[in-house]
Amino acid sequence: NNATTSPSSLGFRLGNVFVPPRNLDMCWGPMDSAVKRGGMLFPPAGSAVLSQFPADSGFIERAARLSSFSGGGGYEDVINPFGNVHESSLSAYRNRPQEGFLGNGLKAASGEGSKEMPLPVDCVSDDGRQSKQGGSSFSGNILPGEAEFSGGDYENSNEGLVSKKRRSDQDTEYNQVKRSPQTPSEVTKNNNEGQPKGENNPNSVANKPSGKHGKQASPSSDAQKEEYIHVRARRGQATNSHSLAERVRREKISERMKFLQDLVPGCSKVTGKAVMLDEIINYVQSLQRQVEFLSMKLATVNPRMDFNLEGLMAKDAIESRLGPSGSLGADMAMPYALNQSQMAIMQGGISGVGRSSDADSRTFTSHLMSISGGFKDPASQVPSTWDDEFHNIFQMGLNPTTPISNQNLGSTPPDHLKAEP
Amino acid sequence: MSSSPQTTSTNSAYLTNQFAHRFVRALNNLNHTKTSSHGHNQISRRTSRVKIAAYTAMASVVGSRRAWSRAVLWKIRKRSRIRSLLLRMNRKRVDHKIFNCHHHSKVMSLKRRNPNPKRQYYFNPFRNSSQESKLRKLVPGAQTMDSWCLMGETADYIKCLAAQGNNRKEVQ
Repeated sequence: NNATTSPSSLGFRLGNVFVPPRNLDMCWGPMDSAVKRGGMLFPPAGSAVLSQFPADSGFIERAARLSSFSGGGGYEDVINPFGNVHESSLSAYRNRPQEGFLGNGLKAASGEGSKEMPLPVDCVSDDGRQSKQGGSSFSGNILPGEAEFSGGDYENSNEGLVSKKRRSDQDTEYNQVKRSPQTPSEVTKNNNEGQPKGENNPNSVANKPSGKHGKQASPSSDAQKEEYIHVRARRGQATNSHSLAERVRREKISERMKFLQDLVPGCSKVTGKAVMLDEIINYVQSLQRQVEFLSMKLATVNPRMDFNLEGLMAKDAIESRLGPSGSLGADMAMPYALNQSQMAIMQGGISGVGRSSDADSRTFTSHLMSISGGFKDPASQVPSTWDDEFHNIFQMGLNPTTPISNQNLGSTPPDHLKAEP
Repeated sequence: MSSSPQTTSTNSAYLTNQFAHRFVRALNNLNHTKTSSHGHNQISRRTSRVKIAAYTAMASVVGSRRAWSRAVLWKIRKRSRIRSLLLRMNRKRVDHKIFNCHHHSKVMSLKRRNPNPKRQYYFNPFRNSSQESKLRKLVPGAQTMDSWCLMGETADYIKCLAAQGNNRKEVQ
């Protein structure tokens, strides 16, 4: 009986909510009881559950990723009771999901939904070993996105996986329900794809979701997920809206982490947020230390340096004019101009250094080393505190000589004003 | 606004040029106004000024688009204000009571400007607690941001710092 139905068909039945569980091996017996429990728990948590409808597609994504539908059989049998159970409960929720959904923030939900739109199809392709509907075309496109998407999801899923394997049907329900925004198109598509499978029981279940745009499907699928996906089970969050928003937030953060990965050199092979963050922190610290070191070098050489300002300013003016306006043309002109400015700067620097006598340079270097030695301590003590760095500087500079910083700031604010269009 | 924060492709070269421009100008001001010996204090002070000039130039190039640049400029200006205030206090020696009150009010007005109120503990802001707190300390103006904004600010900050480092090497 269990082996008759294919997991893919089951997946479709639930709309995009169905996530074929990994642990299909798990005995269904306890599941049924759990499901019933979950079903009865629905009404109390109706409002919370409803608000989590956007989580449906998330299930599919996980299911597709899991893609180990070994024990696929038997879903139908399990689904049916759920469908029956949840039908009644679903009716109560018919009106709620919208409110809850809106309450969560449509942006977050839609963001998730947009990502998860292809997932059902991908799930279809993964599930449909026996029967492919039309998701095969999507599989290629979705998998990378899915992988990316799953990266963020796995945080949550892993938490649940580690903690609760077999229980908390309610949690799975809530977590899964809240994750995916239900879109009628998804549900109908899945249902349509599922129906040709020609399974009786799933069809009956599928018809209901199709009729109700999957809002019912999500709870029903959640209930079914209770049974199936204990691996996926996540800890129930305090409130579903929070979990949903948190999920979106995690995804955004992981996006940015990837962007940061490109920025920080040598972090392409690093995976994982913790290591990545460490790398980022080290890189920022090294950059700040570099700035400090370079400023120290400049400070020691400063009195002797004569900046080739005229040429530099001319080139900078040209480049600044080119910069905001041109894109392609500017890009072509700027490297050339940048080289020119580099050369000008280097000439100025070289001339400045050349003027300083060797003896002076030696004293400079000796001073530099002594000061750098003295500097290292405060620098090493408070490199991680940007405020403290400036505080130290401020204290050091507080011995009044001339308010240079005022003049510097006097020069820069006009630039600042210019730079802020 | 010139460009969105995301369009950095055209900004990188522009940013470096602008930074070099301002930095050099600031350094020139430093040079012209300062006639210093090679004492330890002088060099350290000059180092700090050069560093402040660098940060200011970098932040002013970005302008108010990013929170970290705003924080940098605000901090520098606050310190300059306080410094000027204290300098005036030391030099003028007018009625101390009045001046102290005035100074106190100014300091309080400066302190009052906390750009971002402390956010509530929403979605575990310290996901990786120590790391993110470290990052917040590192990146200026990122103390009261949520993680997502923190990442964005860090990205922009890294980009500008790297560009600034390259520029300074050239200036050297």
